[in-house]
Amino acid sequence: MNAAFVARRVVYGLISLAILSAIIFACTHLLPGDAAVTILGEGASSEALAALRARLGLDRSFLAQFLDWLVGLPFGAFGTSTTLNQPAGPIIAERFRNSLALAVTTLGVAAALAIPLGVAAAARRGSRLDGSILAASYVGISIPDFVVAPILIIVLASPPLSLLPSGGFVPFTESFGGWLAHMVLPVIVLTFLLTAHLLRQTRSGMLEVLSCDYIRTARLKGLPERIVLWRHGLRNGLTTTIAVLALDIGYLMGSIVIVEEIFAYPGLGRLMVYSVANRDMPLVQGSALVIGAVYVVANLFADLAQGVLNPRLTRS
Amino acid sequence: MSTLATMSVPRPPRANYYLVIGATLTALALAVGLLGLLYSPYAPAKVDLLHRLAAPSAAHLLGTDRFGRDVLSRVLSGGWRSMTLGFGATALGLAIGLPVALLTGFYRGRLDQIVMRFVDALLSIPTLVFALLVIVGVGPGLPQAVLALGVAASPKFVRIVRSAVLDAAGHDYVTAAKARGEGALYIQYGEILPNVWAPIIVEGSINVGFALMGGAALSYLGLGTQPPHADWGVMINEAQKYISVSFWPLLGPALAICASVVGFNLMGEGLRDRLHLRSSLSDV
Amino acid sequence: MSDALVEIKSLSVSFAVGGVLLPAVRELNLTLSPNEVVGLVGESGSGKSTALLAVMNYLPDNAVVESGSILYRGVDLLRANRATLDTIRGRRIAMIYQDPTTALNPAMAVGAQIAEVLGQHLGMDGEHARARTHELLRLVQLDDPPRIYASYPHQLSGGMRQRVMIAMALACSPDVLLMDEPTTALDVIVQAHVLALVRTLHRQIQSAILFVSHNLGAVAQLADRIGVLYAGELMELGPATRLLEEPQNPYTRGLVSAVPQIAARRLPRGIPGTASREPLRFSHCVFADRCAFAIDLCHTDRPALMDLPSGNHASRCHFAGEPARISADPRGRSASPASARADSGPLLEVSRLSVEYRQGAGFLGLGRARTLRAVRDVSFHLPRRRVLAIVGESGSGKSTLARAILRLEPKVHGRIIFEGEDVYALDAGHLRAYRRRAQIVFQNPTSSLNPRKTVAEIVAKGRYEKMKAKHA
Repeated sequence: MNAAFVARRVVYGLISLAILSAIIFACTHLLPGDAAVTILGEGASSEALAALRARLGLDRSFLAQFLDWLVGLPFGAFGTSTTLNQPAGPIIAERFRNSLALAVTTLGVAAALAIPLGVAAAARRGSRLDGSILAASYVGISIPDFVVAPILIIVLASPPLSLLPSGGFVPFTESFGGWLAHMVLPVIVLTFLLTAHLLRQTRSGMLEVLSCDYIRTARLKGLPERIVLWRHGLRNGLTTTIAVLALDIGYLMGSIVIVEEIFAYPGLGRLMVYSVANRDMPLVQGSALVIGAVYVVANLFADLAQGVLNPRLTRS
Repeated sequence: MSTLATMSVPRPPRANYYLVIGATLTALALAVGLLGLLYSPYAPAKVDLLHRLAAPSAAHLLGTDRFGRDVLSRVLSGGWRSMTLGFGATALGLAIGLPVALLTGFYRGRLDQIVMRFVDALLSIPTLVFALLVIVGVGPGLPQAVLALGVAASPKFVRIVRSAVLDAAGHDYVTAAKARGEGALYIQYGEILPNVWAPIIVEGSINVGFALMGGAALSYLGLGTQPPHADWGVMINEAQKYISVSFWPLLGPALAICASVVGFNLMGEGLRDRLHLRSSLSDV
Repeated sequence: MSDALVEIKSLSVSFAVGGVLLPAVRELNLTLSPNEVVGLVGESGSGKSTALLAVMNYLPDNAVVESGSILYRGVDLLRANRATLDTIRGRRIAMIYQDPTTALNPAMAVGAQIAEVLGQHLGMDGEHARARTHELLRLVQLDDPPRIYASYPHQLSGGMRQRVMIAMALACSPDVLLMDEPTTALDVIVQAHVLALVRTLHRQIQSAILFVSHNLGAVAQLADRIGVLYAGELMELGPATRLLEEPQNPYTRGLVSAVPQIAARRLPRGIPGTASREPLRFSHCVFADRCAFAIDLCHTDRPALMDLPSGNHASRCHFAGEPARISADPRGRSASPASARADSGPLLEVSRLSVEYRQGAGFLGLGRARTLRAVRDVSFHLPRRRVLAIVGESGSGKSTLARAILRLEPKVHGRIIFEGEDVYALDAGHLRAYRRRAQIVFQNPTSSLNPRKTVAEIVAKGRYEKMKAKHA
């Protein structure tokens, strides 16, 4: 894999991040109503408002504010939360860690479930197995997380079973068991949805691969179906699957918002909802940026991985 | 006559199943949404404290909620709001995405590159998060939610439509139109657009379902439909606190959402197979 | 033909489409003896590819084998299970495909794709397989085998990929080679090379070859015997030379006279009508509707495949054995020799034309792009009412040249003068006027007509514009 390919991808990623931050910043400055009023309230005097605006840097031009924010980012300076009156950076970092734990676990479980099932369904297209897998995945993507979650809470986290806590969080350092227990239900809900999503995409990716001419060539070379599937099919199917995994991280991040809210899990998603509801701009900007950045980085790695698997893609 | 063991060359799935089931569910959902505008067994806000959280009965087909309000009535009357979220967001997304896709797909070159970089960056924000970003800018509420979801959906449409446009633009009939001296606008809307309807319809159908769900999520979070109005998302939020006592107030809106989403999805998939159906007669 | 290697007996295959059974191959009888080359020719839809795939028992899901068997060394391939087929495919019967680009796995080095056949069937280990693969690559006239071995399909040219496929097919020295239109996807010159290669190899390796093609000329170069298929039925089967020189079936005659002959300076003749895709009935000769010699009998009775007295030659025609009845051509035609037309002044003059492409707009529109010269310093002039043919391989720039003449290329060097005016200097109005007088017919009818418009809309648009201009 050549250096030019890697360099190009990395630069694309950086540019995406730059554009992303511009968009996010722009969104948070859409409405004329400003943060100073939100903080001090409607009845504050105009001098107090002006003073606060100056202190927060709100009286400068849009571009100046943006650049100021942008420059601080690589150093972890996300501004100061207007509602909590603390630096936004550490808050976001901590929440990010918690969300990451959820995301990584979910991704692992979902991939382990969905990829083999998707391959199996594609290999036996039209069979009952395929039909039931397909049906399950349709249902899975149609049930919103905020429906699955309460049901699970009722079943598992309430009397009579009360196996798991219905919400909240225990830090890893305090108690490993507690930490784990609080993650189980959110992960289950997230996995449910992600698996359904991933399943469909793996299946259709594999189906497309299996309809290609080189699969026919492989079979007519006298290779047993097992080898045809694994050596010829999967190698190309994997490329699609990796692309799909990266895309689904975005999907996952979206679901995380709701799920964390339901389970009162202190992650980035919950932070985002809180900060949007309270119009705490620095937090909104910071969380949105981190969420988007996760996606960009994931896609970068996916691109590089695909380049390794299928060298044809490294041509410009 | 016998079909001997043959190696499978993929056959298109039975589109009819998907289409039929999907269309039925969609029609049902639409009926609920529209019907609710006109009629419901009880006034949706009618409180009946004597029959709170009741199980279904002849009087209340889906039970009652924590204020004794009839669940079915609320599902019906709130339905149109959820539908508005779904259709409105999709329409807006297309209204933004379609012209952009036609422009970039037709002109290509530097403009295309820049716009696509932009679109790719937008696509890295999950739809719900993007919607939240817009909401933080314009505030909560039903029309705001439609705007947010619509804007959030447009990059996806640009991507999908653009690849269909690129495909069509590569065909000779576009070159022939240029050779005839046709104007750019005509070529985009008169020659190319008629050929890209298929993916638009498919993705549009599917998106209505997801926008509906996204809208319900926003309402659930308190950022969509505002009280005292209700839609399915709000209903679920209200219901979940009392779920240990009665799950019926949850079930009503949940079923409505699921049925709608499944319906739109299946219809979209069925349409996809129908519109791209290739003859299964292999090239003899 | 007691020592036939492959015997196709009374094969009938139909396809289930939308609840109806469409016949593809009907009662085909064909044998392949060791070492012989049999060509199977026919138009698209004649059933030749289906017959070929049937030999490998690789028919689509909706194919129904209504009757018949295909015997190879005593095994009925149509009734064999996957395990048995796996021992025969690639090892004893191998296939060469039409499109080498899609037939090779893009994610695997080509050498590995050849070596795995050796490993699977001959049990060769890594080292031996690699060495043998190098030998095979040399056999198909590819230089630098180690480099080719490590290459991916996209790094090789079309001709090289086809050679790789041939090497892959020959790896285990199969008895039978099936070739499915192996030259259709290639350029004329590359085609010739590949055919020559196959001819050379055939002398060396002694496999029987079943060669399917719609290109009678290509088949003629290789085949010992030729079978002609029409609408799923074998119309004629006989020794190649005799069949081509004295066809004993009206359809074959039609095919032979449709082959363009450069030296003859005569227009080729087509066969009127098109092959029907409707479910046909067994009650009459399939070709009767288009046959110039058909009589009532042909429309009511299906002729059997009758052996001819000359031996080893059969024809499905009521007039088989009476060549005189089908030799007089009721529609004699010859083109007027081109030189008879009067010459006139130059209409179009192309002077030192060069067209360049920028490929890869660099990075975000910045950076260096590569320039590709599609047309380089071309000059010619075209007088009125004359026909100038521009011939070249793919990539030679002929399409670009044509588009440039119509000013469909954004930027060119050199000049194109039409009736004294520089085409690239015309203003919008004059350009439109020019384009009304200079028109283009594209290669692919399917893609040059907008599928969403009716024929009337497509044709009338031009006319409408013309009329609009007249009355403007």
